[in-house]
Amino acid sequence: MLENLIISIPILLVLSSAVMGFSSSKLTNINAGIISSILVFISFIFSLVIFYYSFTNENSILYDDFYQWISISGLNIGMGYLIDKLSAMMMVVVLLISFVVHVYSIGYMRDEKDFKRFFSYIALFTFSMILLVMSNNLIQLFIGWEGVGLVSYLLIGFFYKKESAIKANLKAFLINRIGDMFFIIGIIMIFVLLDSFDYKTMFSNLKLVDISNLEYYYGFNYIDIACFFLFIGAMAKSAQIPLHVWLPDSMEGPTPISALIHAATMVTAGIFMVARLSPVYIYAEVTTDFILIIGALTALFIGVIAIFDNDIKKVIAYSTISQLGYMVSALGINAYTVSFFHLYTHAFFKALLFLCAGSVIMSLHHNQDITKMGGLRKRLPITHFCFLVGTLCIIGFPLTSGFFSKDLILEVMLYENTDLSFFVYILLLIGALVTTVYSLRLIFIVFYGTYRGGDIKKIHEESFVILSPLIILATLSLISGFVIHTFVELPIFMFGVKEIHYEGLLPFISHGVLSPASVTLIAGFFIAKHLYLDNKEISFLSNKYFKKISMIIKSKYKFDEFFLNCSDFMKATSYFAATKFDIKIIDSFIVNGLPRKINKLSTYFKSVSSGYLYHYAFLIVFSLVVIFGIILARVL
Amino acid sequence: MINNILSFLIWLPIISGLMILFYKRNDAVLNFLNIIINFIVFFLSLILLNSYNQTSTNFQFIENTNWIPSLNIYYFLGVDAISVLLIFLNTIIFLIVSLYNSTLNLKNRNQYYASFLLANGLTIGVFSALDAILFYIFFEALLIPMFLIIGIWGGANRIYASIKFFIYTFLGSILLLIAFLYINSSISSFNVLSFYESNFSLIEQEWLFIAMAIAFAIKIPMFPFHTWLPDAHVEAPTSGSVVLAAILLKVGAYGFIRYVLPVVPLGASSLDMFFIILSLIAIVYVGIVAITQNDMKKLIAYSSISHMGFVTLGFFLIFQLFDSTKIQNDIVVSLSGSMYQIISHGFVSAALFICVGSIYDRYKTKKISDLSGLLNQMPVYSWFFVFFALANCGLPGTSSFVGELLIILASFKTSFIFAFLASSTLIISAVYSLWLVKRVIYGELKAGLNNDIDANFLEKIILFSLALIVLILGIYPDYMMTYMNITLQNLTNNIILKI
Repeated sequence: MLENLIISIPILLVLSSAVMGFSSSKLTNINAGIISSILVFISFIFSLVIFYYSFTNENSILYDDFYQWISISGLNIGMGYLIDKLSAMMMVVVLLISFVVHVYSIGYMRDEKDFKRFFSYIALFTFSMILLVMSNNLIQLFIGWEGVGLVSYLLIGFFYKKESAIKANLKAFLINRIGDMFFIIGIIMIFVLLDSFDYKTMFSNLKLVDISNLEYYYGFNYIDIACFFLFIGAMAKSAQIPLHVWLPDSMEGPTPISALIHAATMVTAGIFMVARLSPVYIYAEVTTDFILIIGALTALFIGVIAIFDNDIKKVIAYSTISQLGYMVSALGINAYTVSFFHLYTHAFFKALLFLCAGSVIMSLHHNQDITKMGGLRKRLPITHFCFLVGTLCIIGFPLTSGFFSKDLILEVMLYENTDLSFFVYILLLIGALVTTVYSLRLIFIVFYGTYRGGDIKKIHEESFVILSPLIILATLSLISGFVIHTFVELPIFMFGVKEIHYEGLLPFISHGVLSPASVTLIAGFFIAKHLYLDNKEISFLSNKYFKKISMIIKSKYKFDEFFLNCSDFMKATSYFAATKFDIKIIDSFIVNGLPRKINKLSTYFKSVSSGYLYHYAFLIVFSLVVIFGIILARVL
Repeated sequence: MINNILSFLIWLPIISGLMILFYKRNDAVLNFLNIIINFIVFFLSLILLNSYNQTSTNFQFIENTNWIPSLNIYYFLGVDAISVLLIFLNTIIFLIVSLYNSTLNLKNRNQYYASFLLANGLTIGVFSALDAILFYIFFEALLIPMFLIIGIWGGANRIYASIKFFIYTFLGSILLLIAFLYINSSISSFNVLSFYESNFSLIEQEWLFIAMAIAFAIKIPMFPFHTWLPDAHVEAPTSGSVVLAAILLKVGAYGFIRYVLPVVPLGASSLDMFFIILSLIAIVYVGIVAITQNDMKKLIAYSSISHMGFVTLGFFLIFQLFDSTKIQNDIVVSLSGSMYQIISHGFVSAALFICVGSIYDRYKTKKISDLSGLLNQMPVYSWFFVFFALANCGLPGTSSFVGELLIILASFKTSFIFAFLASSTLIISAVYSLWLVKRVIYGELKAGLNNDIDANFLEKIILFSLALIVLILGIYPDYMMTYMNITLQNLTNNIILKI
């Protein structure tokens, strides 16, 4: 029974994708959207049943193969599922957000010519994501991993006539491919070590491996290197420095996509992967330190960029990268459940923020520039309220979901008590201040003050289809943090997970309110109020010292230029290889050159066969002399 | 009939091809005849695929008659799983080409069809001959129809391209003949099975290896023997390119797995590093060369060479694998990867050349710089193009991923560097495939491109069936993997016994 439910989830999704992709024009857009949403909703209900099962039956892991992908001697790869608490939770989150975004898109995309193509893509995306999440082996994970990358590529380039969109999607795919190249090597390294792609077999073989006796390369042990390569894949997918450059550009895609793919689900695949492989990662001590540093740097430095950007979607994109940095840094101290908790709360409030931004953008007829907004609070009250909820969550206002998850990350970081983790703790704390500033800046500039874009009377709230998803997500964002004990107490199919000191909900809240994080909250509020609500930003930035800093930040630390130079270099190499080496040397000089030499040689021989008798007589005599000479030489 | 199915498969298209030369009255009848013949051949190969016994290690459907007794030459046919799959690939491709050809405007239609029918039969002959001389004859005769296809129906520079193609491949073939004659002189047989039992010294094997390897390396083509292929592709008509990429290159790969690896394994294993490096150069360097090509056909030709690099890499890794792990299964994995790559590349490259050919038919240009935003005018075509470009860069779920995965896996077991270089194709192939898509398919429609004809019904069927095959092979690879597993294990045993 349960198996049937599990199998029908991906089947429903792929069915939805196929129906939308190949349907005739008789199916109207609205109907197509409704059918698609219903299919996703059914799979969401199924996932809830599975979720209920795995949280009520202790130590129950559903595990089977649908079919054998490859089964030859020495290589067995199945396509199947492994449902434990981790994947059950993730499936619910993915399908819920996907459903909400489906409904939202019916309203948001209603005027698009390619409405059905859009729905086909998001269904395909949800399918790939589910494939990735429910996977029971690394190859299926990789298939889903590339699948979500593919749909991301297709959706960023959804408006294929826009040059910026098709540049952004190529960039996103190629950067992800850089990660995937390392990722596949990492997968193979794990396979060679543990002799299986299958999680269950892998982890049981891991116990047989003598960790202290592994091969070393350049001072790093085998598991460290394998985990490092896997993590590079995660860095690309989860947009960590320096492979984050594709995510801000990905905002070229339609806004519902930014909520679903580039905030709530796909970008968290990297965190999910590391959590899934946590039994391996706990042995990779050097790599986890690396993860810790990358996460902290991303959390702080990319967050700072958000303060200076003026595109409403890009600000939220930068904040996504920064929040992902928080999750990654929690992975770096092996606090996988904590990281996953933040993933879960972040999925709701970040999707909420994006969908609110979409509502604003729609009301303003596709204006995304926040300098042309302001004072929208009165015209868009519901959107404003939801956006406020999202903002309170992301800055960690007490009792919202973000408060619980972010505070927990800071807590465990402090509790880890090494030099490095304390340093990271400080970075994350400054990051929290930065988060408060950019989040409040956004809401102050967009919803408060005066409108700077013309006639405010024309602006009004969008339809119910747009607003109801916002309300659902706002509710979830507010309440989802209270299940904190589930995440703290229940290790999710992992071994040797860090113990987290947690004494109950009320002590946690009171401790959290009194922690330094609250100071950053208050300080951030006053900074943002001073700068943006009271409009002191201009005079503040005219300070010579701050001008220089803001120049550096506005250039986004030149990461984009770096990758641009790389691609230019590749093009130049290719051009050189194609025209100089392949054509000039191999083809002209060797391939066509040899016949030319032979031709030349033959002209010499041609002149020998001249037709004159004395030439021939001379040749005969000359050859005889040579031949006899050789014979004589041999005899003597 | 089932016992003589191989002869039917070979001679039916050849004889009907010769007969079709005398009929040129009605194009519709000609189209119909051509498709029917190709369909019958395809159907026969389907029967062959079905009735082949996968669990047996022996060659099956054997036909053995004395042909030229004085020279020890037999008409000796037989197939194992490798041959069956390649024959199946061959007949599908020729069926698709015959469908595609019927949409074209052609001069001398009957001769064109005859050439393709000849090529069809001769290729099946190559894949099923078990007598070295018989193989050689098919192998050489195959050049004739291809030479004609490029030389008569090709582009502006067709004479240069066809002669280069002919001389280049012919040069290799002579070395092959010499090798066969030498083997015959010492074991006095041209029978492949007795080739397998031969025992040459290391020096002899090395020389035999060099002679045969050059012949097949030119055909595949391996770096640095590859420059004939882009020229041939650029000048060849679309269907010629399809056959060239999907079938003719595979003849070279087949030669390696049938005549080189099991016959002279010692020679191969002493020179394998050289060939591994050449394969890696093909993957990395030729892939990079493909990026800035301005001619779409050239781009796909270079990408073919790069993908065939994987095939040869998988072949030559086996000796290193044997040295380092001594596990037979690893060798089978490597060979399976190569075989899968061969079949997969056959379909993907065929589809890409058909896409490019159709763009050429409509806009009379293959230059990337002349095209842009085709999605605006022909959406169906463009989405197929995007799909096959993605398949070309090895997206999981398509057939190309499977072979690449297995070969990268095998190469990691020998050396980290090999695996690293081989996996760089993930980036390089994505760059050339998707940059091509960005420039040609996406964007605003370039001014001056006028054409309202999207894919017609037949073209939709062709592209859809190719896409379906690519997807099925990618989603359920196990069918083909188990199909050829016993044969590859047997082959591996033969090789291991001799080194």
